[in-house]
Amino acid sequence: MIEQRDETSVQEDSIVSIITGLLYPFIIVFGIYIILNGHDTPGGGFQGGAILAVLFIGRYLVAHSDDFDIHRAHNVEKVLLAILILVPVVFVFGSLSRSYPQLNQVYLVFMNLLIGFKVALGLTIVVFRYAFFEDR
Amino acid sequence: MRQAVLTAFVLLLMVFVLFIANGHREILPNEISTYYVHNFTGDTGALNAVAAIYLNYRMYDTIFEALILITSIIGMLHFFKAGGNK
Repeated sequence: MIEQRDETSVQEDSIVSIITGLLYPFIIVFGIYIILNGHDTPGGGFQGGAILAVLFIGRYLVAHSDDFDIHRAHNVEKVLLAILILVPVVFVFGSLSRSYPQLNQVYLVFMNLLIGFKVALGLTIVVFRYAFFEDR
Repeated sequence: MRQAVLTAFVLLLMVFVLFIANGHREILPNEISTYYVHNFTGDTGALNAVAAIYLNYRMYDTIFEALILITSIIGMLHFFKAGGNK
């Protein structure tokens, strides 16, 4: 017998919610730090994006909110992927990185940011898709 | 019956691919890796060799990795039974 569980009966754990609230700014700063310094130190877009995804997942774990629009996030991710393909096609394959070597750092940081946000959205969509539809 | 045939076909295909992959001995010269290690800062402006490789030398790898992630999400959104559109 599967227990019927509705959203109002879920008890919110105050310890978890307070600690998660305290951790939010550190998660944001840590994720963005890893993304922005990916070209100088170990790290980068994928790792920082995974950390930023914890933001949304933690929010869901605390509040059980279902106001996250999966399809809008999916559309944003598609746009990010299009930019992610266009920028290197122009910059690297068009050998602009040889002609303008001063743009190399800007390119690396920009690409890491794009990859980071895309990975964060992707992991969030995966987890929320399961959380919304597969737990019944 | 159909499932058994399909399973046998997939297994045969797997053995075939593994056979080819094992018989192929390709030894690459390490000139490329030596070049990367010595020249990545001047070529790409990065101080981290990994970032230099995945954002410049091996850009196709990163593009298709991002594509794999979005493809898996598209497959998950469209082909799972439960839920559907929210």
